[in-house]
Amino acid sequence: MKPAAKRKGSSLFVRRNKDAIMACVILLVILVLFASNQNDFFSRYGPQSIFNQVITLAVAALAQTVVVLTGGIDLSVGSMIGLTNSIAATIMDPVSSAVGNETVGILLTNLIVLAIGGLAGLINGAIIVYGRLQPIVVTLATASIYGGIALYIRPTPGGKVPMSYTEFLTGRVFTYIPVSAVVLAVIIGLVWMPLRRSRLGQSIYAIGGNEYSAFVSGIPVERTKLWAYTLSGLFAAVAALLLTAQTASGDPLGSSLFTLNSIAAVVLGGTPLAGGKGGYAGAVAGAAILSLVLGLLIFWGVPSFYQNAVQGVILILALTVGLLQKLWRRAPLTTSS
Amino acid sequence: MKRTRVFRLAALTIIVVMLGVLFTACGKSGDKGAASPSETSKSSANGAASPSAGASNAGGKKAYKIALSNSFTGNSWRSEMVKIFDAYAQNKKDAGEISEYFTSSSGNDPQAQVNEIRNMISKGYDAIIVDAASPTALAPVLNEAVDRGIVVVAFDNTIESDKVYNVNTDQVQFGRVQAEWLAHEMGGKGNILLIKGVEGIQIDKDRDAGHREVLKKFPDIKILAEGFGNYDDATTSVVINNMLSAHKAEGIQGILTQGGGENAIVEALKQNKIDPSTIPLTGEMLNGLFKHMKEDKVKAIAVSQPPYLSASALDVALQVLNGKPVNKKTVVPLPVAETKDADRWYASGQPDNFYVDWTDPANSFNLKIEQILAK
Amino acid sequence: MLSSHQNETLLEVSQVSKSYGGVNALIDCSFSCRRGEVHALLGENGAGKSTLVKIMCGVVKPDSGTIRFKGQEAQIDSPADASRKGIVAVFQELSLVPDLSVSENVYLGYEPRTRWGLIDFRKMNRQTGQLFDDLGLSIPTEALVADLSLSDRQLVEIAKALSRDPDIIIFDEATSALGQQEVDLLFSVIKRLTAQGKTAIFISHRMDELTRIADRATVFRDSRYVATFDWGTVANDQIVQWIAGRSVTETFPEKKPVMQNEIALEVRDLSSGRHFYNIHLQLRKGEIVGIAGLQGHGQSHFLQALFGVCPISGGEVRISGRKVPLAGPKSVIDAGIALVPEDRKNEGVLLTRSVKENLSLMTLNRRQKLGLIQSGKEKTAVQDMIRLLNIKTHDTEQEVSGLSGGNQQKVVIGKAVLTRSNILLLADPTRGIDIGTKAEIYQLIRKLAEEGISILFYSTELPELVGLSDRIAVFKQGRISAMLEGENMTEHHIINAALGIA
Repeated sequence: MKPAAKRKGSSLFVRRNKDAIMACVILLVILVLFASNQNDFFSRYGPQSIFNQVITLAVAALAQTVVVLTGGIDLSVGSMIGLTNSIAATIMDPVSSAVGNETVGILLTNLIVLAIGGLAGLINGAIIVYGRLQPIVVTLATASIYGGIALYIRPTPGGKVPMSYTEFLTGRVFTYIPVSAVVLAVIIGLVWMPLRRSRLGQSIYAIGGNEYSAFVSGIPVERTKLWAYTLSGLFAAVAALLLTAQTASGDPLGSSLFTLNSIAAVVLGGTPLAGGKGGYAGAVAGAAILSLVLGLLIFWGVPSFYQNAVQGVILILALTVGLLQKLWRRAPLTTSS
Repeated sequence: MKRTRVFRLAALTIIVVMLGVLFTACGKSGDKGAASPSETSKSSANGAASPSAGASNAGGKKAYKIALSNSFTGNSWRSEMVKIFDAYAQNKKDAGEISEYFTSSSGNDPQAQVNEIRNMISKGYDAIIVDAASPTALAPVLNEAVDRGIVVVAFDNTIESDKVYNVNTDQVQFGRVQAEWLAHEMGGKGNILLIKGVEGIQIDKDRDAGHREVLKKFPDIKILAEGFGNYDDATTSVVINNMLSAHKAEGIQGILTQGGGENAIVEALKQNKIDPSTIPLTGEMLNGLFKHMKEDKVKAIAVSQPPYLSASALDVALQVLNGKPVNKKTVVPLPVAETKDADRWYASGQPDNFYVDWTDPANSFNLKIEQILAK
Repeated sequence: MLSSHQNETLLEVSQVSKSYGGVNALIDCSFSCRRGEVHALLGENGAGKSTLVKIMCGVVKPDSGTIRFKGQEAQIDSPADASRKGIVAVFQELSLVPDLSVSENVYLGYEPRTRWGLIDFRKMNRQTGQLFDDLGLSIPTEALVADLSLSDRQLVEIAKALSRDPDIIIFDEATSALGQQEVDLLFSVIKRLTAQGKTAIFISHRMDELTRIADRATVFRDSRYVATFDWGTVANDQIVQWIAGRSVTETFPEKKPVMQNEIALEVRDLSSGRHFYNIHLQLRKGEIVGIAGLQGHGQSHFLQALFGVCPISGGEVRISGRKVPLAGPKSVIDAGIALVPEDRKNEGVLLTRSVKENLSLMTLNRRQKLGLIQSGKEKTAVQDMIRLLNIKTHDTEQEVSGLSGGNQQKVVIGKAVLTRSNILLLADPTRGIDIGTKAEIYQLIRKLAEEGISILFYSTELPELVGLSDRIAVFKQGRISAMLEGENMTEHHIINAALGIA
């Protein structure tokens, strides 16, 4: 037969992340512009400011990523953040005084909030999997429900959060390293990368690529989807805990924009809404772009009514370039060589 | 393969740019240490010909960089408030007290406003003036700003923090003024309708407390019905029409409303064949109410959360920056107007939802209405 | 072929029934296969073979009946379960995930893991490489499946099944996308496996292939079991009669000499990047020209270029002397060319829409008035076409996904015919279609030609090319290496020209 010639395609890492390149380039441009406009960019405050602005949406984008990769969508990310944020701000103080130790109380609260987030995600997943319903419909409905529960728990924004919690999570360690950067590194290195390299991660990609193929290949489709939505809820709760630190309070409705922004970040990062490819690297870049571009407008004194328009233009620009790349390299219509 | 080459090229570009950034980093960190940022101001929307930050004016006094962080826009009060700030800040700039000013509205998203303020801190403003999206959410970032030597003044939606200067009116007093006037007009007795604001928010609770505190002193005034008008004509219209159809027969001697729905109330009275001039009404200092005072001889009192609070906040910021002693809490007196003052306040040609109190009664801000009306 | 357990029954399916929403797919069917044999499943599309396969590998559960595996009653709950037991299938609808790499697909769900519980990508690639070396495949293991050709995907699919080291491997039309060379490769692999005592269940519509490989065969018709026999003991005529329920005497319609000399389509010096070069071809009115060649020598791109979906780098195309702008399907359709694409599930039909909508899709503009579809006019045209093509459907409103493969293909052809184009391009029009329907499609193509339509078609099956074409253009490395006519149109000549043997 033919000689077993070249077996390697382009490297795995490049291939996995090639759709994120556009977002990375845009982000790089924004960072360069930040460097020349943000007066404290090169001080210990600069990175702290940047990572604090990016971290919450970056984590929310991870919540969205795991679901979008399966070919689904989670419109309840914002509501789950609102719900867990409200709960965190409401119980953190009472729990701390109940256990008599602030640090223990904070840790306990975090665990409770994570459990609630995971449960909310699991409910989404269970309705979608066992009810055989469209994710967009289910999560739209649960978004209202979770929003309603959040309003019940915390009718108006507020709550009490220990200063130590806020100061730790928005602060720095070793004088220069923002805690937000550490959090992001942990999430990428200890959560996302192992997930990506696990069978669960592989199954998530396979289901998004072709659900039937995944099924006949022996992938437990239902269990994988349950996990994906549960993880989405869990990561939404992580985002909420970070938001709680940033705002030192709970706001039942203030997080609604996280839903659309997380989707925008994911798409901007090169993950198609049909799922199956892309990944978290792009989503982080997308989240950073969406968060930081507004900062540039402030540095340049651009009136604020252009802010949304600029975000939209960036999104369209990135999508168009991605589309053009695809058209440029792919022979149309056919599947054969 | 062709694609690999593209990626290599991209990777190379990225590395080169990163190195560039690193070099600039080293270069810049050398001359760090100046108290105020020394970079030339990038075409600020407002500060076209601004002197560079930290410059001194003719009088030798320092000129400051001031930023206003507003949360949501999209109602007339907020947009008027921002315009008043712009106009007053321009006056101050012309006088050499301010070198640069910037206003931004982040929308009703606490995280967005937190980020906005972070960037204002980075930009090196001397003072940040805030109308917050949430009374608590901004506290951490504003504390951070104060810790880095920035003067923070919050107004309208004040901030629970002892590091921040708060500027506001007394909303309980707002309610008292309205209720006392109404009780006086009614001679201390009769039936009233009570239209409140938005359920659950602090302003509504405060104004309502003021109303009830006064009404308690007049046992002969009876509340026939009460409801939430959400400070807008659409909601108020539904509420007032329902109330009128249920209670018209009992006789209504007064309408106590926190404001915002005066147009709807006057229209509803007319539709129910009640002469609006016979029923004393409370409200806000909205142009529509003054129009009705003039055209329909409506007897009313108008009180207001004045949009010029932004200008008052700027005054406070400048006083602090100039080292004058200032209380952490500034209470601005409420502007009040009655039917007899209608000619003075009415802004002909302006929409009904224009707040006529675009400057304080003494015009101590030295504003001209053209400045507020300018696009 | 020599082992002691040669005649041991490995899998036995008894009295199995299955229906989908009231439609019987399988009625009281029994089937058994032995260790070390190649067992062919025969039947028209929709006869129940695919349902039986799905039951055997756990994709669907039977409504009734029993399954015995290795002598014990067994229940197959899911594909994963079947795979654990040792039954895997190479599916007709490819079970590959396009955006994963070749090796990720091969080991999907069974990835080798490091001691941290994470997937060992390096080991996975190495093992896939070894597997491919064993099989004699030269497909890059880290390439994305989406970037592979249809035949390479089919080979990956086969390798994936083999990687599970199954006792029974089911090939559900696994050869339909393969060229001759790859089929030879596959057969040598199957022979090696059966020699090791593994069982292959083989579904194909190509009788010549079955003759080469099958030990025994079972025939299904109309969801029922018909017969099981040792291959070679029953005459082909009898087999065809079992399959079709009638005798199909003449597969290919009679060729009549093309009377007209009018040139309908002229291709001059057409080139497309690295796909094909300097193609000259003339198609007369009412003529059927076949395009032959080994897989991937430019044939399918040539057809796509004519349809305006594969960019050209030089040359021109004229219809009745007028130059055709190859700027996309719309301009080509307007000029009078219609294409029946190769991948009918993805490119040919909208599976979830009705027969009527599918048929009229390409011709929407013609039955529109003031922007509204004239539904009466549409209906008449559609019904005529259903009658002409003998499409077996309940009514015009049935979803296309509910039709058998052969009838779906008829819908695709009907859609193209309805455009009233003078030139019809057919890409492998009978791929995965049963004998009975194949014959019908041959008749139909000939009938269209007799009505004056010129047909250019490409096929992977040599008998089909020889039987149907008036002339055959053989492609080799992107060029026409021979133009065969009359007596020269034999399988032998085609192979020689395709391989470049003078």
